[in-house]
Amino acid sequence: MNTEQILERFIVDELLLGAGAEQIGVDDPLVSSRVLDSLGLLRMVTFIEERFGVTIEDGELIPDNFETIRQITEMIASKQPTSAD
Amino acid sequence: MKTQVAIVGGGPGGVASAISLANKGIQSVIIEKDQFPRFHIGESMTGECGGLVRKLGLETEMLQRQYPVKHGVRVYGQSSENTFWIPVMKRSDEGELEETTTWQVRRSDFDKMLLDKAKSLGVPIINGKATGVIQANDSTVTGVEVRLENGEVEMIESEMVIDASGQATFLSNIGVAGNKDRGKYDRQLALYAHVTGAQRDEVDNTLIFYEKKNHWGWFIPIDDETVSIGIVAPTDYYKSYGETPEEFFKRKLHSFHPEITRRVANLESIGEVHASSNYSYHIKEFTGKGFICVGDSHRFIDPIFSFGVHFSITEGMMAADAIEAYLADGQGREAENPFAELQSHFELGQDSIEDLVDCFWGNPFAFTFFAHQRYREDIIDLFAGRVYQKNPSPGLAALRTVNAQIAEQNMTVSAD
Repeated sequence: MNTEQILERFIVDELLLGAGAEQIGVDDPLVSSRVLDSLGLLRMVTFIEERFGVTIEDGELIPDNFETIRQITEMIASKQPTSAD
Repeated sequence: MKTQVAIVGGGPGGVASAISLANKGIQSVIIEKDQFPRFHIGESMTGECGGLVRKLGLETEMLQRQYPVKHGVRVYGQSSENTFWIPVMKRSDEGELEETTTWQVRRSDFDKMLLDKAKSLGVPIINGKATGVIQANDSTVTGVEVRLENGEVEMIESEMVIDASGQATFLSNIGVAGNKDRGKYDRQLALYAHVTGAQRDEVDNTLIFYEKKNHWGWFIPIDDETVSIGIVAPTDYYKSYGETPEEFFKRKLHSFHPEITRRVANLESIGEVHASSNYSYHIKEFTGKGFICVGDSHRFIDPIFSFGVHFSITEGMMAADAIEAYLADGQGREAENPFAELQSHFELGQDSIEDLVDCFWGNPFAFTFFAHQRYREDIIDLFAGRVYQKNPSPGLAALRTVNAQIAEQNMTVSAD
């Protein structure tokens, strides 16, 4: 699975517990549409840090930065070494 | 009459000063305009504040009164599932966090107990209103002018004056301390009452309910039967309803937050509904030759995290220490402000709590992440009232990073 798919699975299976949508598009709004509540957002940050081995800086903890799967993916990518996976 | 220290105000700040001074063998007099007991809010104490009350020699009295023991603060977000819990914890001698407790109190009773303690130590209580100060040629404050209840004026000469007049801000009003700047949370209205028959948790703690930015409520048990409930909202929002304080309060109790609604379903009684408006301010010059302001008499920040009594008592005791040194060796007597260091020390503590509050309102998401996970211990320290570290903890630094970011965004928005 690529980063986008991993994030989508986490949101659908862990945060929405299968009670919400089965699929989430990479550009679907997560925060402003309230797909993710603030608690969900917190779990997301922890998940990202643990799963991808990156650190979300204090100043990056802004809900807007987590608005879409695409945005989150880009943020993760910018933190990972660019060389071979 | 003559005394060493004239203290304006017989609330916790004034009494903490008087008791500490008495313990050092320094004479003081308390000037109080109200007859105690009198109503007051600010009913939840921090962990450190509980420790200071013990230090003032009041633990036995506190236990006799059986005030509800506070183990921590629970903050409810918009939904009931979204909560966070900050336990009251102290630092051991080795620096480890350990569980401890503090109290929630009925202020009319608690404040009278404190004042009685000062009396029992021989501190005279003068019933009257401070109307002015006596000043030497170099403007050093050397006493207080008091209008007694019978209308007579009494001049109390002293070596020092402590302003513990609370929101009356005595020394600022008469132009001795600096001007009162409006604080960031100055267009707020708080409506509150003591109720009975509220649904309480198995263990009583201080509960805070977050509705949305600048809209919040509190639920603080103050004795076996009574709970203090408050609802805070922007003044304009309140006015838009055209209701009396009582109508607004009663309606809001049942519609404000599901966690309050649930707890007030079967109330037996609602006491008088009180209102305080525009309540946030900052006086930047509040110490000088012959005077020190403590607690609300120089600064009042958004009260959401219950720091009122904490700052009054802490600062009252620190003022007593500074006065002891000053009287003993005239330390700094030649300086323009002999208490400049004390003043920045007080600001250091209050700034830390303002940073905590600013981040809570400005970016609840970052705040909650810090409080829950990343800087949990540092946030626990702040809630406990350990706020005087010269070097900010990583958690406090993070709050400041986020606050700076919010301030920058606000500037961009207003420039647009």
